[in-house]
Amino acid sequence: MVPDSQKNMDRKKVVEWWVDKLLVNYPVKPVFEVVSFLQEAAEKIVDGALSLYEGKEADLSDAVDDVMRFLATDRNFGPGDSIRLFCDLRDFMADELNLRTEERLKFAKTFEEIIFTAFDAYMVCREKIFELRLKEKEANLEIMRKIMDYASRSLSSQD
Amino acid sequence: MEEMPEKIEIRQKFPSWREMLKPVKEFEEGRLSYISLPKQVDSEFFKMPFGDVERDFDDLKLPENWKEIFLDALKETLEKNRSFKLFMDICVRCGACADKCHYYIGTGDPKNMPVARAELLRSIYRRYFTPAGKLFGEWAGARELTEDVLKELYYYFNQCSLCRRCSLFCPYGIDTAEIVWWVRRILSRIGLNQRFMTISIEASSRTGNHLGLLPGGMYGAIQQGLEELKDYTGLDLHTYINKKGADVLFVAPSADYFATPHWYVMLGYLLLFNELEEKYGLTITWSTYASEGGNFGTFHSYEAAQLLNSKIYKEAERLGVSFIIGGECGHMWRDKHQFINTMNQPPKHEEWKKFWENPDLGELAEGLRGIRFDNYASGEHGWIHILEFVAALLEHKKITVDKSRNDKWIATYHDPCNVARGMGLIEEPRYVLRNVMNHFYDMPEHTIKDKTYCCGAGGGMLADELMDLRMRGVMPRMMAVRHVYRKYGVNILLTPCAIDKAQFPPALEYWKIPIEVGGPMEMVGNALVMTAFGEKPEDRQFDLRGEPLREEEGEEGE
Ligand code: SF4
Ligand code: SF4
Repeated sequence: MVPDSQKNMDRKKVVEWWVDKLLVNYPVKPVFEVVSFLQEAAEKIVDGALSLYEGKEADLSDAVDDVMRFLATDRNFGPGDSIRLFCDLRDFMADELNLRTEERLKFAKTFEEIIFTAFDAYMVCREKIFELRLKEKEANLEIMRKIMDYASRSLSSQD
Repeated sequence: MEEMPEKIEIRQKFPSWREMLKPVKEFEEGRLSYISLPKQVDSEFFKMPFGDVERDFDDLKLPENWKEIFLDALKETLEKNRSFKLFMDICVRCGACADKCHYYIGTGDPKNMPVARAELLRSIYRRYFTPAGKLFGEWAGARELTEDVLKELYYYFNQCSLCRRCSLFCPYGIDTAEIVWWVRRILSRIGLNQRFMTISIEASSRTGNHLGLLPGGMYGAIQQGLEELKDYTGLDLHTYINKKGADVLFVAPSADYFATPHWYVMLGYLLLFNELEEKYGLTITWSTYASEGGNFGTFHSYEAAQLLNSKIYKEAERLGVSFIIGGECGHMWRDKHQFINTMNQPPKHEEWKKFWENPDLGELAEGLRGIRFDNYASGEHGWIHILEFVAALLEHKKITVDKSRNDKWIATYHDPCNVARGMGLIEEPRYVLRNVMNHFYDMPEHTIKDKTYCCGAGGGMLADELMDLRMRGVMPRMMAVRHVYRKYGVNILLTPCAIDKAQFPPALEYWKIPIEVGGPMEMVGNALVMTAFGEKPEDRQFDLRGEPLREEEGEEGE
């Protein structure tokens, strides 16, 4: 059952509002690539939140992860700020859907799942950064190993 | 994504300029470069002023008269370089450059807008070198040089990859990269050097290459390459190292000897050189002395750049070659195209002079007559870009290729900033790729060619402590790659630049685009039919990654 109020929600407005919030620290709006990346993820999250509210299945981990790839490397957003952006979206959607208290509670409850996913994704992204640093170090070690290996083989081949 | 050009908008929404003049106090991990240690800047081979002091960002341990040294160096730079002086005076803050920098696009940090980056220094210039700034201070956009300001300079002038995308869009052609280069030099006068670049500069001044390879290491790597090629092609191949009297000196970035995916490109070079010698008698030699095409000095200072590139012309002269071919490296081409002959004397030996009087390859190998270097983008100072060279070989039908050997790849091409914007080598690599493979797709027009987005790791920014900055700086490029990955199923990103080849694998992983990275010469090597060795198109069983050439399709990386 889809509540009437939901049908009236202006999806475009919600998505734009949230993307603007994600980009709030940019004094000049960044280029299309960056905006469209966030927009695409935001659309999926907004649609997914509605599906969850309707009791349908929705796997949002990829879209949430996309947003977190951005937030987790943003100098202006700490972990708390990043999660708060999802809470802001929840509240804005609830307002836009004109939900009354009881519905609002139900919506918040279903939205919780997205927030937990977001928290996990934030951690994964931070770990990823360090994993990439480590991989780079390991690649450098591998280069050093090869240098020694090839050099000693070339010496012995000249004997 | 097709409607993108219309979507690029410039909204002038600068924060207040007076706010901009306040130095930031917070320096983020992930964006702050480590400072050099004495072993990098006070070695026998590379010495910087005050390099013997071990310092860190919290305690800069500046010399007492640092301010005087700084301002003197700034004065000297202004007096000696008219373009720099012009760049200090001329900016109208129109903002056309503001959203063109990938670091700004990626980070949203207002001080990463090129105009703001330059303004960090301009404000000091105004305060000490213009009457208005001296009189009206802040009101005239001027500010005092304090230790906080100095820290800010170090922080932001080491968040620029010298890619020059901003200057392309500036109505006055203000080259922020040049400003950054001079500021880094000025900082180095008071002992502030960035660690990542000086590690390589020191290694290169000591051994001749950024990796610090000694001759045996380099020799061993090339030997290994020939052995691998024997396995993949069944052919007995050879190469020359330090060969006096060779026709050509070949110089590659040293990462090609050992790093992955650079290595596959190295195998491509070796195949090509063998075919050319066997077929036409053109001899190409490597050198253990001039063993590095890259020049990290070009990220740091005039003196460091000059020190590192001095050896190559000397070696060309010693070996008596007629010209130099340069490999797949980006910033090498800023160095070799724009700097080298203003920093060092070109070779003066007979062979060189004679060849350049009439630069027709037929003078060296009759079968190659008609290939002339007169009008090459890269040829100006005796250097020929390997891809421009291959493009000519293909155009003149001097080599045979079998495109179908690359059929498992659906490729796109990243223009390295210094190759495309710095030198204008834009169509040649594409010509090569279209001739050696069947599936090649460009990324959207506004992200390639002279407008190419930087990889986010050039200019000394490939440091691992800058991983956050790198992942955000590369975001515009990655989004364009994602577009062709989705639209055409692209499964390999090709780039003729060693830094790109190191930066893209982590970047693709972070932005979740499951494709491979490689270089155009790998594709050339795959497709090249070694006719002089009796090879037929269908003979080749393996590609240069050692994988069977004919397998089921649909492989898409990891
Ligand atoms: S585009 Fe040129 S003139 Fe305009 S703000 Fe940027 S640097 Fe200044
Ligand atoms: S040169 Fe490149 S990295 Fe530097 S400010 Fe300009 S656009 Fe940004």
